[in-house]
Amino acid sequence: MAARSLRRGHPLSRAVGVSVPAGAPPATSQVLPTIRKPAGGGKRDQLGSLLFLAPAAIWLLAITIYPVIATFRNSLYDENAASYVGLSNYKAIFSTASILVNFRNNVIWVVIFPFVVTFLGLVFAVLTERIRWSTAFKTIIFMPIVFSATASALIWRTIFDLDPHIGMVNAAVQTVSDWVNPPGLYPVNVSAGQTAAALASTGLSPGPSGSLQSSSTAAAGDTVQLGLIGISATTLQVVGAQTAIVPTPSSGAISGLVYRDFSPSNPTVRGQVFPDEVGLPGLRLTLLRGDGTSVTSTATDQHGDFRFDNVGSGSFRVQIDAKNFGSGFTGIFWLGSQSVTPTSHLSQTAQALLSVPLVDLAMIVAYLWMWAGFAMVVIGAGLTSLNRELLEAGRVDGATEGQIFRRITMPLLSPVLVVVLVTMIINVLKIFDIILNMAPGSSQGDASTLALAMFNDGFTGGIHSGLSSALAVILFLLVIPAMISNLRRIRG
Amino acid sequence: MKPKFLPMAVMGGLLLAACGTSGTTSSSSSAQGGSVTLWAEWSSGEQNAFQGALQPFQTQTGTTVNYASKGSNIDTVLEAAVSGGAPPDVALIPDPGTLQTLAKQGSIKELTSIVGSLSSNYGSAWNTLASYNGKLYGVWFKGANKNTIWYNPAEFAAASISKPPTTWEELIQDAATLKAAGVTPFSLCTDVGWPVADFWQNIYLKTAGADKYNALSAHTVKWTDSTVTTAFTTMAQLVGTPSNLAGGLQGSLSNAYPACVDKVFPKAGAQPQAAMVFEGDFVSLEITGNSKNYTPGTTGAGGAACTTDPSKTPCYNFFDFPAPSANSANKSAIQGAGDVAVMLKDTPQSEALIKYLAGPDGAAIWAHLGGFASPNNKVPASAYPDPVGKGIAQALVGASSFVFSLDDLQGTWEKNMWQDLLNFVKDSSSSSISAIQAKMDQEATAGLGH
Amino acid sequence: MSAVQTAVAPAARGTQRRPFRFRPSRAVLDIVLAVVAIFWLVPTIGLTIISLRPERLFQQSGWWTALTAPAQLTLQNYSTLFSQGLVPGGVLDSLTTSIAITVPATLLVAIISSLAAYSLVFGRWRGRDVVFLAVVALLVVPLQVALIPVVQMFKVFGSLSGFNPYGTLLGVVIFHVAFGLPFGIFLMRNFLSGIPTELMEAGRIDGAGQWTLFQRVVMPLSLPAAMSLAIFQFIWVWNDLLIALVFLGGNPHHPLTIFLYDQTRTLAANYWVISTGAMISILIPLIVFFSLQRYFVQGVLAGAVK
Repeated sequence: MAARSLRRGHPLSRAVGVSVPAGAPPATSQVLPTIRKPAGGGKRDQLGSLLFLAPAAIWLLAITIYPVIATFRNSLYDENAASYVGLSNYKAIFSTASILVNFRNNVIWVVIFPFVVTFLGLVFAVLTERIRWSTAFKTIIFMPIVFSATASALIWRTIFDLDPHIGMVNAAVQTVSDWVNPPGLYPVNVSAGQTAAALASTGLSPGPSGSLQSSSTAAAGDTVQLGLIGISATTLQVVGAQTAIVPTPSSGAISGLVYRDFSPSNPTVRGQVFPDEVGLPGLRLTLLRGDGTSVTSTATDQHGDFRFDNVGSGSFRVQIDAKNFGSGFTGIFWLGSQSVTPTSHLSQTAQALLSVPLVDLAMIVAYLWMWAGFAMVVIGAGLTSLNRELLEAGRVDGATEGQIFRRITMPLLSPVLVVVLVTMIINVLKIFDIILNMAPGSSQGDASTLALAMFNDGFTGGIHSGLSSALAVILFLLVIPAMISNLRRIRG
Repeated sequence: MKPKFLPMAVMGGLLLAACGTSGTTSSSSSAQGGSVTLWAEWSSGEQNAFQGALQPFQTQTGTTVNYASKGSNIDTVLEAAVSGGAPPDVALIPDPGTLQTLAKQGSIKELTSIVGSLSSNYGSAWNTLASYNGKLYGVWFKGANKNTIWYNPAEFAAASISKPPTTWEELIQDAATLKAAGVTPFSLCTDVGWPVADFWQNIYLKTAGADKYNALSAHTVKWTDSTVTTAFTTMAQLVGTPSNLAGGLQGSLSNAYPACVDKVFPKAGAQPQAAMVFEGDFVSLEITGNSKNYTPGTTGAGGAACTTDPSKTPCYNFFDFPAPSANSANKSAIQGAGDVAVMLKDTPQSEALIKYLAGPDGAAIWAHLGGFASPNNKVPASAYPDPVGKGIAQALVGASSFVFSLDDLQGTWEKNMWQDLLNFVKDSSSSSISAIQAKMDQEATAGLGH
Repeated sequence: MSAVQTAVAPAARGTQRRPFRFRPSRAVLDIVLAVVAIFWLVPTIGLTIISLRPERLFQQSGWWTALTAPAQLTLQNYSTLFSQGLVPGGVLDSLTTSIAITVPATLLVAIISSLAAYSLVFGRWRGRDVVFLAVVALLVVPLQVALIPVVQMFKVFGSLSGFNPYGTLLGVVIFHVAFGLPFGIFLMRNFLSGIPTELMEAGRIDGAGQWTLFQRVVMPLSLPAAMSLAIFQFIWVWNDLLIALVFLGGNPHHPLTIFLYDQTRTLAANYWVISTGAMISILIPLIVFFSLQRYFVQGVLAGAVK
């Protein structure tokens, strides 16, 4: 073989089919006299190849290996890395409530994210096998991986914004919600702490299910005056409110006025219908008997007046229906630290450990968007390298698609799935910038993880060594199982 | 939106001529050339204004000022740079605690001989805050009056409130009146917690007084003290009722600065969602940035009535943070902040810059642009463009007692303090308050070392 | 085959031969995946549109309203940002800083990894495998573990030599290279071990020394792998925030990631800057991605454990 190579042109290009770049040196045999070198390479060769390793070795020893050891050492020293403090940094970590919160968040991420992302990747990989435009699809799903976590965090922060005018998710929910449950003419924002009961000013008491009822009963021939406060000028404009007119009594009927109990010339006086006060039109009212059953309904006119004719005997109440105050959808605070799990009645420590802040889930969604493509590509490659004959054999034997998937495909795929899982677990243990940029200030404390805590402790407010080194050590210990699994895989 | 600025040199010169002081800084008359690196926290609009203020210095001395904006983290960034060996020549820092730390380390230079008689440009409270061991280490350039609650006069008028409240009780009463008129009283800024801290600190100052305030800041009064509890329960009167706040509790927790200001002073095309917002005097920059129609004071442009429509005649004004009527002695105590210039490298250029910053010229330029107040008593009232600006500056220069922002003096546990106060907003019940107080005291001990 | 039979047989026993029952029709699949694809694209499209809308519209109406009213779109935000010029801390300066950090880091990692991988594959020295295992172990080490000691090291170096890399772009590059090398060496080593040894033998017999072998034989062949590595490393460094935040504490010039991060921290932060800056920061990686997609995917498949 060697002899032949000397005679037939450049050996490399034939061997691998790669064209030799122009300007490549002529075959060495024409330049140097033929010297038979021992196949194993001499000492000079060994030295040469070791030299090649030198830059990497020096770099890694200096900037990676030595610092890791130094961090271990620093974790046993104080904030200025000067005096030995033993395990007190670690003790401080495990006794601070905020660090427990960090641990909990790491657990939430590790338990949820790697498995969901692997599952998504698997589903996408399997489904895209059967469509014609799979390259385009894969490109679209894969693309977010090139965005920085910072940019992605900012994108998704907008998407999850509380205000339905800004946040897509809340806008979508609002569209559906307002279609199912349209807002009333006088919306009361319950999520902002407003209540219909707070609107009651004169002659009204809170009724069932967010309605308002007249405090005292009325009979035929009475007039009722019901005053509401907390109605904004914008609402008045929208409903076209006009000056309140106190109606005259009418025999056999219960008439009345619903008015805005706020007079610009007497802003603190309630209960009196001033000339500059307005009536509230468009309010749906129900006449209730003494036992609470309804008789009939009506609505207030332009001046806030209403009348129930021919009510008969007995005493009645007028109810302002809850529907008038329906707020419609006002926004879910997706980036808030309220817990998805019901933990408000638990102790502080239990809460710290068992709450699942909603913002964590929102951030996981954003991170899934970034990394599902990675899982899909890796699993997809695993799928294409599967031996199809095994699958065919299964089909021939009469197994259903589901059985083939479960009993043949999955076991064959499991190494790939494990790789993806482990990679994603390590990835998630280190996340930092997505939390820093996506969680609003009020949620940062509840959403923070070990890596973020390490940065905050170590690098904000000067450089503090002890506590943050201890956190870094813990982070390192957490990735050791992954390290061992990788090593085993490479070895075996 | 960002206003369009003339080229810096032209603007700086024009402004100095138009509203500058007579007798410009001749202390640095020799054209020195060279350059000086300067760090401060300002970016965007404030940066433009600051660089305009520096322009006369650059033209007069021929020294180039290499300005770098470091954001609100400048204290930690500066300390890191000092420990890493790469500090700037001059830095403007918002935290006198950092000044103390750096002076103790010997990382900044003493300024007594450099500044000389210019130190009389500042009241004694200001000079004390810029000193370490009795020696002067900094000169104040910008002061912030955090004693201001901004309100939309049109919204107040809609609720027939003819004049803003002068006591805390009146404030609570006005909130109820506003609600009756269908106006949400307050837009609470939360962000990472510093606006809530500023608010709480004002309440503590007004209820407990300046001496207790300073003692709490130094942690000689504990956070479990009853005065602290009083401050919390007083604040809860406002923030404990979600219907007082724009967006309720949820809305407040996602209400970062400057969006919280936009809720009271919106941009064109939007309606106000609340009547009052609290933060320092820099709020006016955000307001005027939202729409050019915003007029300072209680009447719109040309004396017209104020409207809520930003495209017509919207107005903005402030009232002093009110004290409970039982604590009226603390009425004119002011909490504030400021940026103090320190010198890290002693060069002729940095000395000249320090002297310039201690004089009134640079401050007058920025004052003219608005959103700026200087504790320098040589800056004339005419430098301020409107009654709002004048009022703020006068309060600063002439406060009966002046305290610095407490959270900025807490060092490493400042961030924890902010988080604790945010937790207070989330739950302002009395059990929550006592738990938070205990936690804060622990953190103060750990963070301050005593 | 017997393994397959045992796996499948217990279930198949007792059931008759059935035609395949559940196989979603192509049309359904197309629709489902199309919906997924649209969902996946929406955030990016949303960001683009936000950056093309005037700022005051941001709080008034959602970006999706622009889909039906395209007249409101404008390049104003971009022109305002660009007109700032190369002011330190501005978007253009951040862009150049990002490039200044990423390009050297990428080149250095590519070159040094190739050299090291060559040594690990073709070198005949004892301990080769141990070193490679060490590299594999380093793959998962979180960079947080090295941050503080390296900062301290830089300071010590600075006091000894007068030049402190902390606070300089060089310091950032140094750290990035260190944490790019394990993956780089891993990738290149895997690729190089696929090169037939006959080629190396042939070259050696022809009298080539190590350097010649490396330069003339190995490097041209490994160009695809080096490309994959370079692209992956490029995007990794371009998108980094933590290392830049820690090491550029003292520098008026910072990369785009810090520019974006700062926007959420300054008093005057507004979404027109954030969205426009985010678009600019996304643009370069997107170009790299689309033009060199194949190499990128290869890099990922080589076991991207970053």
